[in-house]
Amino acid sequence: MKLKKYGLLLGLALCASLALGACGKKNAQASQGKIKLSINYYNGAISKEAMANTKEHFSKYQLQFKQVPSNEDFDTKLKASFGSKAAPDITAINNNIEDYLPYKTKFVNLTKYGTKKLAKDYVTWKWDSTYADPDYQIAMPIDIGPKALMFNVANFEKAGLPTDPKQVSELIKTEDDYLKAAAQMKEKANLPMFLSAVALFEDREQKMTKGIFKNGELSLGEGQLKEAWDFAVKAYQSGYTLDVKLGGADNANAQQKGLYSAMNKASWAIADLEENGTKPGTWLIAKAPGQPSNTGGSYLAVLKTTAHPQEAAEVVRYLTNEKNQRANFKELSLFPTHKAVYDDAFMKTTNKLFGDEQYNPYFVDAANAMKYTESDPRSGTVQRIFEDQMQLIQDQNKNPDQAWADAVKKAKTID
Amino acid sequence: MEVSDHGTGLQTAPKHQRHRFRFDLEKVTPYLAIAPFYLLFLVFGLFPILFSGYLALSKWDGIGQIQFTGWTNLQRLAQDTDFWLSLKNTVLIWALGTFPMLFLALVLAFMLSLKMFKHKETLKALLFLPNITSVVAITILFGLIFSNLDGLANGVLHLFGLRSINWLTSPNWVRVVIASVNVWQYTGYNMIIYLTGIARISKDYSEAAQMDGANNRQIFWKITVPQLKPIILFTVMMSTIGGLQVFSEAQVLVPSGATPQGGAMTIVYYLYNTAFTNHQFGYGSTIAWGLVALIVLFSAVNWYVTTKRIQGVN
Repeated sequence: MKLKKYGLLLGLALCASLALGACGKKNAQASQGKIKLSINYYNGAISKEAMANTKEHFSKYQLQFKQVPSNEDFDTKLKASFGSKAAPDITAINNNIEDYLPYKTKFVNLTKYGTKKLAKDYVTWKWDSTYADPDYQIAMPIDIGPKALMFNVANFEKAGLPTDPKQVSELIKTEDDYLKAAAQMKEKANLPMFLSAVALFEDREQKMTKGIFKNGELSLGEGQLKEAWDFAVKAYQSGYTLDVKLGGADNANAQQKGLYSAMNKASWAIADLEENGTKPGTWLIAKAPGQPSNTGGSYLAVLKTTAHPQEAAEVVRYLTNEKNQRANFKELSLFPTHKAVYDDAFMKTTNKLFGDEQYNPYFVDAANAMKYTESDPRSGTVQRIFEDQMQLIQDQNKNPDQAWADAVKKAKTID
Repeated sequence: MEVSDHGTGLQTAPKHQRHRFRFDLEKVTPYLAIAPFYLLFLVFGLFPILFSGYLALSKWDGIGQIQFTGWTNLQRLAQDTDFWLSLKNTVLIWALGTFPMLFLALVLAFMLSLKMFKHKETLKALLFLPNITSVVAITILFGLIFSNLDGLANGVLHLFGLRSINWLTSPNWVRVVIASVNVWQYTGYNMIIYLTGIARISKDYSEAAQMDGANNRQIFWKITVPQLKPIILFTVMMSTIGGLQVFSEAQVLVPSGATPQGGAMTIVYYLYNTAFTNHQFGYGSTIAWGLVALIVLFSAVNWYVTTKRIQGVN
């Protein structure tokens, strides 16, 4: 019954949309005859102002921006559209660009359209991540997510730790310093330093400078993944973690009430803090300890199926230029990849959440210090296996050695 | 079935044999009328089913070449402890949800059929309401109620001086929470089915019982339940098929870090993660066919039990 009803509804909707779609197409073509380019993006990837700028700049083209949901289906739909007429001319790609590098032929090689000379303008490691091989660039970077240390002021004060961001940056420089501060937090304030074992592990994974795979073979970052694992396990076993799940109501609650004390977060987490109803001045930002790291950041690519590669490449170049990255930062807090944006005004950015603190230098430091790590399309899957085992340690107190062994065993089956 | 019989019947009629290629609007119209469903079924139903059958024996990341790997995926499935643990979770969630739910639905339906209740239509509508609300919205709400830190459920426990429970991270409790979403959503639906069943039971039985001095509890156990047996078995069968496919509740309650050992990983959730998060569409399809085999198995058992039992009752 249910199936039939939905089938009928779907049928009606489809017929209606086909009919409407056909009409729309005819009218648009008849009335204008301009070059038409469609751009698929997900919510929060491109600002409204950047879109308006681009439409104005390319008034000779007809640009169609289409917002699509940013869940896992985004990749599935994009992959399904390859080679079909339904494919957009330009698409946003999330930070999983490594999934697409092996399929460079599905994308227009942007180096053919003069992007090589732009390399110096962009953050190097992010720029490098767009190359399938030294002469084949599949995308241009929009934004990045460099990370800094966000700390809870009241908790730090209670533990006798400094609360001035500069002093915090001085005190907590290495991972060991981070653990020492956590020990002090537990001892003097009886509060956990970190959200959870899993969150800590994921943070450390992002600091790895070597890939999960080396020359196509599982290498687990040549010991770096185990270091990250041991670090998280140690913090967990020492009682430095609150052990609440990343994301979701409990996490928001914990941030708001300061139930834990520090987190390495990307610049866009500022928006999360705001959304979670954190009061101004409760959290401040310092330099992240240890290796510089990044999480997130989108790209724009031109699909091979486009009829107008030259024009589409022009639009991608324009959408990722300095002017539009400034607009993205202003409207969506997207951290720019265009280095010209990192000027004095940018460095002096403040947010009422952090009083008069000028926090951007910490993020810029991380952005500039990052190095490109080659990534394999299977890396994400393998990392999730380890994260799931860490979750079992966190939730069920699973034996860490057993958990590690189980994860390694499962990781070896991924091909 | 009906349609195809009709079609062949017309074709063999001698009157039409001479004009084999004549366009007969009357003959074509019914087919046109049903065409949308079949076209859509072909594209969105049959094709994906056949394609996933092919994928189940292949390796595919969604973009590149599909490599035919034969039985490799099936062997992997048989040895995949995660799959079997996910099955265990699914069956446990199903059992935790279905039996209390059906019993509750039965009791509610029986009570609504009694004369002493007024405003029956309103009550029916109210109890059915959860069934037409969005499962994702309900689950988000349940997630807030059962959140580990400050959820309503833990608040109530505190009120009675009890210790709080890690509802969403303890394997046993998370299954209970997932099952409770199902109970909340489908009790009203099953109650309506039972109500129609109760309406069909002849009043003579209960009236005769009342004359003999039976109370409502005795009528419920001795008359309503035995008379409703076929319908109860039908609802058990339907909720088995539905229960084996439980996904949204688990995925929304535990969006990250769901593991087979953690209790929240159901078969469909495992399938979804394999295919759409890890982009292993081949093995994902194998899991899907594993699920099909399980549903066929469960249905066969159900069918065997129902046919035998119904014969026994009648």
